[in-house]
Amino acid sequence: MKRIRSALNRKKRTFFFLSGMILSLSAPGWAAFNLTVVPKNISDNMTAAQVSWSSVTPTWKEADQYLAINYFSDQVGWGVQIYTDNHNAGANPRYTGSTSSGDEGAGLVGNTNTALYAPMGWTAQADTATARPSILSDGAGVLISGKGYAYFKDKMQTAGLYPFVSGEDYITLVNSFGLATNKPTWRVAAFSPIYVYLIANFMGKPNQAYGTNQLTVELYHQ
Amino acid sequence: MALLPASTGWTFEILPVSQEVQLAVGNAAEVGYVFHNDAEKKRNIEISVVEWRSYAWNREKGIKIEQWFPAENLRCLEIEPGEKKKVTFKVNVPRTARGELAGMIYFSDTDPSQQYKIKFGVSLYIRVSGTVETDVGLSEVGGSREPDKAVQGENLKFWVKVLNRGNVHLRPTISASVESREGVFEIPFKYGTPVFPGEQVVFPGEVAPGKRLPPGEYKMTVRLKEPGLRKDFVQTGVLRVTKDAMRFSNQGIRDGR
Repeated sequence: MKRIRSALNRKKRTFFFLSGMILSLSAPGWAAFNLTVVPKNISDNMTAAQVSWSSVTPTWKEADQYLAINYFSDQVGWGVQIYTDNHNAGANPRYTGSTSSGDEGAGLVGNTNTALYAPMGWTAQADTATARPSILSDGAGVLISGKGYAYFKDKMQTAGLYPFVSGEDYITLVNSFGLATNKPTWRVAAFSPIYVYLIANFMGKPNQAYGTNQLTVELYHQ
Repeated sequence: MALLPASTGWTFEILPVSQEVQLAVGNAAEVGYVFHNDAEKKRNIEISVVEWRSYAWNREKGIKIEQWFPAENLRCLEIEPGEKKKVTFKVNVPRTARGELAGMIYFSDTDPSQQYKIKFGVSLYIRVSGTVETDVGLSEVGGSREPDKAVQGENLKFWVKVLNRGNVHLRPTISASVESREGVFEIPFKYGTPVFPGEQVVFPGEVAPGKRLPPGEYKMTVRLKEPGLRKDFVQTGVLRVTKDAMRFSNQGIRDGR
């Protein structure tokens, strides 16, 4: 809070560095942002070293931890989006599988066979006390849309019906309209922090370790 | 077992978070941002950029962000604790561009202990002089009523769909009023989200819990304000309220230019 007050007190200051013609600036002074992502155990809400899936079965499975995401922006047009970037050169493991299906590599990538991945999904909540939605999928393991969970997208997902589009509503956890419900209802009011629960589908996945170091959370201002 | 890494996060200040620049075709300019590291340690900041949304005309002409935001702009910054650093970017307008070019410039900390990828994005819009087309309409107005036990009444919710048929993004502000026997009440709508060309955005409005609107017909006025429009866009109609629903009579796309 001290940091926020400090930033607000400096709002009268203005800077302009432009040789073209400025039509508008979104803010007359400093804009303070923060964004933190902290994994916590679902069992006891204590901070955890990482997010993990234990006792994995060949179906959708919720992670043992959730992500507590703290955010702050005092600007209009803000949003927090989430996705993977598993084709990135810094990805470890780096996804090397199909890129034609339209949902390529958006999830946990195989450590040994990096052409395989377990698709991930998410649901966001304003608190940790409310029960999460049931994970509903069809016989092929496809999540039923509008039931509380959304698929992760990968940044390189350009093909198919559902390409990655920065800033799109589907991957935006929270914005000035509220928290995503992944249901055919409006976003709901929420305040920082929000809580993101992750699921992954291990149906048909061979026995190997899966993971990603490219889970990306962005605070954007459009 | 499957794994994701441990926590990460950071805080900083920047000015501004969004810029709109007007440039003629073939011209170049320099845009600047000031970055303030108010943390107690030095930060190594990596700068990247992505095209923000996809504008039909420029996409069809094959214009890539590299053509107007050159790769030489992408670099790393070292910022000492407490330091304010100005960073400038060169931009230009390709000869075939029309309407608007939009990008999101990202700042991310390269600290290897930051295990999740945390990015902060500031937007940059370049409007191409002489080619801007502003064309916006209200495509739907609606409402719903939901019982709310907490207030021994109901929650009245409204929505307005705004369709952008122009070639630049717009930032409309929606307001609406309903005239009832008890007087006129204003419906506050959420704002701040831009509407990009070819897209339709639903702006939600919500009346304070407990406000009553018995079945009947009411005069409803919806107003759309946008700096790019010559005048405010106003649509008036009848709001028909039944036991279960609300319907606005004056539907369909109405032009605002």
